[in-house]
Amino acid sequence: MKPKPVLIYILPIVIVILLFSIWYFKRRAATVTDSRLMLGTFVEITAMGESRDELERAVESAFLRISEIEAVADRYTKNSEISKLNLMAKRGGVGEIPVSDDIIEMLDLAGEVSERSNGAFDVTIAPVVDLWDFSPGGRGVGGRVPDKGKIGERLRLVDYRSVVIEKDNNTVSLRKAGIKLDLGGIAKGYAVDEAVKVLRKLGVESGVINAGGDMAVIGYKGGYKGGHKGGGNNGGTPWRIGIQDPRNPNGLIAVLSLNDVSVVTSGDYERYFIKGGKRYHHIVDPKTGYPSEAAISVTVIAKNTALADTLATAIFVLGPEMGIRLAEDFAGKTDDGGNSVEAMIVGPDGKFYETGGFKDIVEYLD
Amino acid sequence: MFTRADKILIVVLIVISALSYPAIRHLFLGGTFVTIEVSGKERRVVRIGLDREVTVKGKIGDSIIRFDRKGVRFVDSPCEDRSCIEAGYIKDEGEVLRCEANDVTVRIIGVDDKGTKEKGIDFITR
Repeated sequence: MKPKPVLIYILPIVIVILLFSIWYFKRRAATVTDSRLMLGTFVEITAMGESRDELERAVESAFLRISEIEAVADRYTKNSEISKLNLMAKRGGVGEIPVSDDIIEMLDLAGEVSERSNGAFDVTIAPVVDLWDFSPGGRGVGGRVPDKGKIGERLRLVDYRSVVIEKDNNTVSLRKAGIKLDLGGIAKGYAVDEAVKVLRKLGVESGVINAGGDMAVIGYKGGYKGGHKGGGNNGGTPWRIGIQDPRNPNGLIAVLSLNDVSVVTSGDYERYFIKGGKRYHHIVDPKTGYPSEAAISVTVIAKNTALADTLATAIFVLGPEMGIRLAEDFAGKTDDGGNSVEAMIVGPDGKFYETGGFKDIVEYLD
Repeated sequence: MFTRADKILIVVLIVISALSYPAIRHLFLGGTFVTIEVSGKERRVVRIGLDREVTVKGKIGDSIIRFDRKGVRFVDSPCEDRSCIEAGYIKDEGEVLRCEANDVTVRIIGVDDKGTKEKGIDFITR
């Protein structure tokens, strides 16, 4: 009978493929990943657990929370609270506007980082940033360097001290007409933190939220009650987060092994253009109105993403020496004796600068 | 012609191939890192899976960007000349697509997902 030899050779292959498929889908059954365009970036949420249905509900709720924050904090959304404040200031008003707890919390933290960094981070930088066009240039399109005089004029409107928060009655007032707020340096981080709270509340013990590089890791990878690996950390392993090489889009300079922490990187390679051989990027120094040249890349690890987000910008503007001091100034002690804030800076000279505990969690690559 | 055993074998192979396709595709094709910018204002970096479309609100309307095995391309745009759609796919690192009228820029910044997986990296901070 002819078909028999064929079956003898092919059946084992068929069985192997079938077993592989079963293993693969079983392995992935408890991982839910979704990504959406929000807050001007792609937000990707990954959650691991036992029940796919529960994970999907949790991820959906987390996205809903992020959209709530976007609705109040995005200055490009017409009726957001920030837009209302900016409109009032544009019309010359300096009165009070009632705002949500989210705006109060963001402005409160932003104000603290501004104060302690001596204005290296400033949510009122928008009038200057709006003069720049950091488009990378596609087919024949480049960026724009604004007129020096214009930058000087707009710098007069940059002053974080002009933003007054009244926590008791949830209002914000602006002391200077023409001021313009931009929460772009904190809103993504804050939204990630809020999404983490939602996921945790809904029982997610293992996951990652990544909002365009502003990232929080929950627990350990694959570490949840009933996790299939067994052992400590609920059976999981630390999340391995690569830090991009600032001068090689395909390369990494280091790998971090992390759990229950946030990590944010700011670099001069994200949005930039080159004119006359000079690189102009999107991290503008609030003192000069020009892109900071004090660093190439800054990575901050902190217990919450909003803090890591703001510190990454402030440290980038300050440069290695003062930047490391600022990170250490914000660092408290964690339960395991480590620092609650760690930072690594790639300086303008290409050298690495880091806080004391950074070396314990990093693996530098050749 | 085909015996009964041959026919059963063919059906079994087709079913198993169909079942295995998504897993094999995911394992061997990986993802693509791209940035999308609107009006040059916001950073947009994403590792995105294959075979999906993303709608982006630009200056004059919605641009639809498609990601699939061939690369990334605009499939719909509110612009009049539609040159962004005619530009077709980009797939290599450093390539850029831009819709001038809607002020939307798509740039591939890395496709080294395989190398990343080899190093055991879960995510990249950039």
